[in-house]
Amino acid sequence: MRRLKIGKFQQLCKSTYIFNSESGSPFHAMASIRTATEQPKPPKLTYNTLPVFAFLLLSFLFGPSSANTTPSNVTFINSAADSGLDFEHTDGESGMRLFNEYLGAGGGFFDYNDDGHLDIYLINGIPQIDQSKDTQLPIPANTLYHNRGDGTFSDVTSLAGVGDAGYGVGCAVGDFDNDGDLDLYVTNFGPNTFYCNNGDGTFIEVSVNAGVASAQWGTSCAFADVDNDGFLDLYIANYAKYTVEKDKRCVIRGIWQYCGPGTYPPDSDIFYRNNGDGTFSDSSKKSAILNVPAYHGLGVAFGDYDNDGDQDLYVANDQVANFLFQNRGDGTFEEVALLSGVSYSDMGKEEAGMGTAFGDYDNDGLLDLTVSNFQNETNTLYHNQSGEFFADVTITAGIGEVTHGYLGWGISFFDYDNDGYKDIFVANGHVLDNVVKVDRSTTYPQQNLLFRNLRDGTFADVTNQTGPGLALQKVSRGAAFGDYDNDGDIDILISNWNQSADLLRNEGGNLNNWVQFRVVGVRSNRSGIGARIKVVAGELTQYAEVQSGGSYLSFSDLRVHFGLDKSEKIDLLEIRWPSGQIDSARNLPVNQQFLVTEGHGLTHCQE
Amino acid sequence: MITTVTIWRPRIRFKQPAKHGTGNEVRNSVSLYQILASILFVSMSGFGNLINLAIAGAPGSQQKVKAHFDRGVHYVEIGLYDKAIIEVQNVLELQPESSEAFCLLGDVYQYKEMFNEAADAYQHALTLNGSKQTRGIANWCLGIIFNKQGKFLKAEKYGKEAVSLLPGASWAHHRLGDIYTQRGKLNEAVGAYQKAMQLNPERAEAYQGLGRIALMQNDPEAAIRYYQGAIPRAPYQEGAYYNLAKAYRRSHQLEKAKAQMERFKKIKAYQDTVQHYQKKLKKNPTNVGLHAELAKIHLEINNLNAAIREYHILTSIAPSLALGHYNLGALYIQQGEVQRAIESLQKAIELDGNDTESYMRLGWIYASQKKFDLAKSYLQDALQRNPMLSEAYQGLGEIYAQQGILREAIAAYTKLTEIEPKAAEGWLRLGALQVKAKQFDDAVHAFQQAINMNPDLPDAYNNLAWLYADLNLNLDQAVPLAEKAVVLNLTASNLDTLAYAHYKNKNYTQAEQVIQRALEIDPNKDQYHQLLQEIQNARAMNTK
Repeated sequence: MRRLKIGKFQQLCKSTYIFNSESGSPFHAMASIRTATEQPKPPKLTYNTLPVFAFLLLSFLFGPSSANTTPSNVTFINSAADSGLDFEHTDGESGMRLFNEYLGAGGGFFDYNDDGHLDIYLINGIPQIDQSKDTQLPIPANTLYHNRGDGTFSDVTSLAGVGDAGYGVGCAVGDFDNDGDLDLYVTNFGPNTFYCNNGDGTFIEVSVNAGVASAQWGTSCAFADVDNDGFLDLYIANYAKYTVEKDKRCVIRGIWQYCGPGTYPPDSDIFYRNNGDGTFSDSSKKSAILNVPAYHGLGVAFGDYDNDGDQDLYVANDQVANFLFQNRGDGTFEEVALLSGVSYSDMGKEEAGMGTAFGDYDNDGLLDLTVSNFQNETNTLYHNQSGEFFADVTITAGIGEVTHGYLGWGISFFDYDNDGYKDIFVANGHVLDNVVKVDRSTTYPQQNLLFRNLRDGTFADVTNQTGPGLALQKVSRGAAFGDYDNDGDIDILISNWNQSADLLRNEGGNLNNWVQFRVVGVRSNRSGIGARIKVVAGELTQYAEVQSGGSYLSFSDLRVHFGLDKSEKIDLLEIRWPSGQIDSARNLPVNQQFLVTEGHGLTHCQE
Repeated sequence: MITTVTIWRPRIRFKQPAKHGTGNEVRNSVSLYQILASILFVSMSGFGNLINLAIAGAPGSQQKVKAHFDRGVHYVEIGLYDKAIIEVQNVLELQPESSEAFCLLGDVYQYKEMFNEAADAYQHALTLNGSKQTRGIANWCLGIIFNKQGKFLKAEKYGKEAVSLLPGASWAHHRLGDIYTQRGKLNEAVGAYQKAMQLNPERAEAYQGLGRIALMQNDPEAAIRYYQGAIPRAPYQEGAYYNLAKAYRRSHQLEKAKAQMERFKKIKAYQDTVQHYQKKLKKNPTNVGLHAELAKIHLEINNLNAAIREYHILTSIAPSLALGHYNLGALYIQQGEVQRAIESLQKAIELDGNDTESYMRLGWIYASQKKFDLAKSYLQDALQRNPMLSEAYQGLGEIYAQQGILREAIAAYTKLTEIEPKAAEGWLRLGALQVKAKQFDDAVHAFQQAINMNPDLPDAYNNLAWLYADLNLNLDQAVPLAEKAVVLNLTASNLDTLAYAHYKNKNYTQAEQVIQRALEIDPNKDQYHQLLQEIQNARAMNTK
């Protein structure tokens, strides 16, 4: 067991708010007791200390503010080239339309060196067929870009030791060993790779030693503390049982195309339980995730949809029913998608589930759900009705008509204009490079979509009003979200199939006020994944969870961002930790980053 | 009273053809779904009218055009789309400006999932001087294609045009409702679905559309009503069960939700299996074995129409297969389509003169039509080819019984029981005929045999009890026998027998109580009133 340590991020913080803990909360009794962990030191007070705020357990009964349909002045600019993000994805370019090529690859934002700036990791494929023995081209690999803090990035892959040269697919980050830095898991077509962060800007590969070197074809993955023992567990969606050697050629109406998922048998997903000693155990059977049939898994999202204090799990499957695993609270799951109304489309049909995300778009304290699907289906928006079941509101929310013509992948709720209501972004792109030969109604590259939350349960397509970054038409796959330039609004990282990645810088989102929280668990897992944060600012009451997974093959900033519209202060901050502890504070300033340590206080880091 | 059992239930025994094709497979990348859909579509869009219109436009080449058009439609029906295209091309050579032919071409492309080409064909049809109906259909199809492709503005435009050209077509209104729904225009969608329902109260899609909107509008009670209306009208569409379950869930009726989800799973499993076969058939649409297996799957869930469609295709692609015609005939019998059944069975006999079961089925059909001579002839033909065919004796027995020739009827049933001595119902029917012929000893034996062969056959107990009571024979056994019949099947008739047994045993109080129970069930039966009167009279006499 490594020592807990305070990272550089905390050292950068300016001021500290200390708060007490509410240990008699309803959630407290649910918490599992974590043993043998050292308490982290409270963050050091550096500048002005603001008043100490008492703890309060408040109700979650604030209603939404009135609808605002005024267009925002936000634009997105693709700053990838200017910022030195020169990543080019390759699927191996076999020219054979191999079955494992079209899923693409993901990437994400994380602060690997704890310097307060989000770095970027991008996943790559490799050649799968030895076509050009004579050439001396470098083998493509995953790439880590260090954020210099001035809007530019430098490639530190070799230095950090994370240039996995497997056939990369997806990734997730989390502090699995509770040592204060973020570790990195990569799914591959082939054995997955797990990098343990050494805390000094380098990583060490521990896949086999940690017991997570699954050789199945992994896609999306996510960390969460499923049994609330203070250690992050890991779920990996797997796609199919396939080998390049046995690749089949699919011809439809005389046209050679990529084969669909039904061509190869699906593979079961994996759930690894963290043993708390730097290793994991395959707990797939014990956790009951194998009580369902093996399906072609693609999207993974954790979230406490039933508000019972533990992390539930949604898995988007390709062309079959999706799964909703309700956490029984004892480290096992029960699959409840059908009766919860989230298995199928609203006509009871399977769809090609790709990406997925939990998020509370109507600020009612219940996590809603969205799923991206194939072209000629729609993306789906499920509204959480009561914590027990969901209503498919795709059409009435205004999502259906627009998304029907797109093939969606990475998807998430995020508040791009800081108005206090989460919007939706979805990355699009076809799977068939020659789709126009069979269907003139669509294209291989497609425009991504941005939906603005109109605060009344509906969304407006604002894609064409939000700048050149959203006008791009590429073959997108993964999408990750984070404020990489620390300017108070959320930027978007997009991975594209056989193309350069895009870094869409948000310009103007910070015209509204905002706040960001980085959470540090003490009894809870150190990353604070699963912590539920409630923010009340004026008439706005918002909820969000610290999430490791979601979207598609990608990971987003673990800091939780809230748009605050024109509110000048935060009336109440309340955090329900996975341990069950509830912390709260009042009267916080806006436009700040805060570091929140479970049971200790919050530190004002950056304006 | 004696229950006169009529074993007049044609029991369909399907013969399964060989699992694999006949060797005359045609390579064609079309799915069975399309074939079935095409049949539905053809019937909906009224190709018959199109054919007539096409012919009317070409008086000089009427017969040729009609022949090509007929064949084209037929190939669409059985999923041989490339052949259908050739026929359409032949029509177009004779009538290059035929909008009807372009419409048919559009259909073929739709079933081949070549939607762009289909849209081109329909749009070309609209540039020609087609009838109002043809233009309506072309617009309707374009609405469907653009809706599928997510081009909803265009879909709405064509859907509206279709409705204005075909205001009486409920299917045009319901499709427009679907387009409006997809566009989020829920009020307009409700109007379109209601119009579809008004035009055709049996249109399940309209109920489903209204249910879907009710769910979207968070009105689960209304959704429940609509889906309860949709399911009986289209019992094999899984979506209605799924949404009914969701509506129950949202109205907090969890147990009902669970029950509907179970039904949904059952129908979905069936549809998944069907899809599995459709995929196979996509690769090999003329594989007779696959069509037969798929028909069997439809039958397992009682989807008789789908099974018949499958055999219709099967007999089209393998017209010389007697077995296919026999099974199609058997399905038509089950559906009550007697004339079609006769045609199919006669075709089977024409192809295979030794197909005893076809002779026998025809005999049964003619017997049910009271064409007794013809029926006897077919049944005897069947027996000539297979003297052990018990069901042929059964048919003969019933014919003679209906003709009042008891001796022959008893002989036929006696033969049946010799061939199938374990057939309890055969013994039961034989006993009933023997009672009628006053051969009481033989009847007692027959009923006893029926009980031996099937101890749970209530009519056998009932009949034997009645006989004992009526003959004053083994009166002590009559009551327990009648009681057993009542336990196995509580009917007024069986209670009547029990009351009669008590009466004959002079247990008037019990007799009166039991006959009163029979009268509670069937108060208008004169016989029961008569027995009650007899019991009351006897009781009065006894008291005196």
